[in-house]
Amino acid sequence: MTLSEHEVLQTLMQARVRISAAAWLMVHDTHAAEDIFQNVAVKALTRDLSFDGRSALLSWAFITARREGIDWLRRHRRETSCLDPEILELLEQEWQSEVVQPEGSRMDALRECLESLPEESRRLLRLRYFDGHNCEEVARSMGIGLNAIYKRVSRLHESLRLCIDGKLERSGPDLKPEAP
Amino acid sequence: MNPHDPKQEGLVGYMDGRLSETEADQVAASLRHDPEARRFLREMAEQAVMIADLEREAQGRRALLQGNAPAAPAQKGIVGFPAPSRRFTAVLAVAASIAILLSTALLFLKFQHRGEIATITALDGAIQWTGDGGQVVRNLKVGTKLQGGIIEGIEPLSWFELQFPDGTTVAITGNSTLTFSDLGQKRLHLKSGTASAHVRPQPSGRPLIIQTTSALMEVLGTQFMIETDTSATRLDVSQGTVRVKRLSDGAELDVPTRHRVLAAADHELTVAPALAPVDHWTSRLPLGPERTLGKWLPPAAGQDAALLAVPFTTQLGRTIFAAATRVSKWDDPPVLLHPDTHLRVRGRLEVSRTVYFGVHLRDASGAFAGRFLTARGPYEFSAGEVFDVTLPIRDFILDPALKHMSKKLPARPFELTVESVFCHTLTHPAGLELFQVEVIPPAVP
Repeated sequence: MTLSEHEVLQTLMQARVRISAAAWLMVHDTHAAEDIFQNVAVKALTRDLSFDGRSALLSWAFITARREGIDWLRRHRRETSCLDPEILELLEQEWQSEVVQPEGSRMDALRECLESLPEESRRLLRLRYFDGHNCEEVARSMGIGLNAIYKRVSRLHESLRLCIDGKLERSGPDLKPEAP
Repeated sequence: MNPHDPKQEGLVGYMDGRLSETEADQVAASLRHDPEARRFLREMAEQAVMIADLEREAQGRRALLQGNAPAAPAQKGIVGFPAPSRRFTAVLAVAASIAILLSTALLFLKFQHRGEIATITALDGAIQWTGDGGQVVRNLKVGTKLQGGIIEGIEPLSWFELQFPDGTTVAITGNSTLTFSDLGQKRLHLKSGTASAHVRPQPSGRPLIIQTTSALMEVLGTQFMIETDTSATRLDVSQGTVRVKRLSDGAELDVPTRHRVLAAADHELTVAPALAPVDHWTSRLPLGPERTLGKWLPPAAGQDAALLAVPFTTQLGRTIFAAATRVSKWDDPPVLLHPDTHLRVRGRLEVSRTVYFGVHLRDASGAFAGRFLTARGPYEFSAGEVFDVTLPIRDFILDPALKHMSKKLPARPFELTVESVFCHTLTHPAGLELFQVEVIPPAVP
């Protein structure tokens, strides 16, 4: 059944983080990824498109985000270590098929988990993902080695995941992320 | 993978673009064959996006609280880089202008909730907002604070106004759809319908962007009105300058004060002076139902073309039988009301009922200026017979339903532009038909 305009909007907004995340994997810039998501949403609404269900819409949205990402890289003359298209497709398929928690709940859980991190860890994440610095710049700023940054970032992501999952389970223990 | 898996460090390095070719090949192979590696990468990407979201909100709140304070806590810790980030600079620039315009303390109180970037400052009729997570909110009211999202007028006579923290206001009327966001730069997407805006000076290099299906506009600070459909965008600038880019070919031009432009692929892109207002107008119902509300009945033998009132349900759940016709269209000069203007309506009722006659008005900048109406009792209409009434505009009063906004709206309907004329029989299906509507200018002495 063809999705109504409201269903298109709802589906896209429910998948906002996932679509933006897919865009981030290409452009490595969280603000550009957000812009790309907005462009995808506008295209879905302003072009004469119809979607035979949520799967069709999400499939179109991920492909469109990828094209937008390629355009963005071309416009900004950026060379990033673009993922192999085959890997991107695998990731997108998994994103489309997974059952996700409401984004608002995940965001709230992440906020609480971040608050429990030491200021230095929060600063590292801010520099990397909000200010858009690469790990070498972050390492220089924080006065530690590049490999130590890789280690810290990977541990932070994993411990945040555990913390978020713990909070979302509600009945389970309220896990705090460990400071690396 | 466990929380200390070295493969995860490899993925972080891979996304950082610093791995050697051999290392990158190994990570790529791992991503192809190891679902856990892909799960970690997806998690990392989602967290990156959400962390940026949360930081954006926090920075915006701090900026609002501290005005242009250069020693914001977030910035103190950032050392060793030549300049603050692009976004942070923009946030500070926005904050600087806000600090001049308004009390920062008050703003903090108003916008302290997560991600709220604008407040509804006026509202009439049903609108709905679709925001983060796909939530749809319909019980909107004046004072409701919104995160970025999509706002839609869902009644033909809907109208609402949104105010950003810097004082910039945007309004839509009728069945319009507007997407809005403010991530250091205001971005609006008008999918369809009509919008007007009063834009406060924007930070250098971060103009307000408005996109439609056919044009992209950059605004630094101005007043204007836009009307768009699937193929064309019509822009009227009442104050300031708007840069317009036609999307079909990238052609650009600046539209100055009291000028207008039509951006469409099949139309020459040229700036023209705004049309001078007129004070006389006659409906053209025989030509078709374009821009009307109601069921259009074509002319038949011995019968005029007519617009039959149709039911529509308001936000309060009342079903009203109404017909309306747009008056000031982009292609025609705006129609202005004066104290001695009259509205003449010719029509017919199947049963005698009180008929309400009204006008939707806007001001020179295109902003909603109220809905004024008057009524005639059932004794003035004989069932099944054509009526022809001439109504002095002086008799029109502000719709009582807009009483809560009376301080914001003009008290009288004078020297304002008629957006549309409507007639209804409230909740009674009285078979109201309109044959002709006319705005009659004051008599020349």
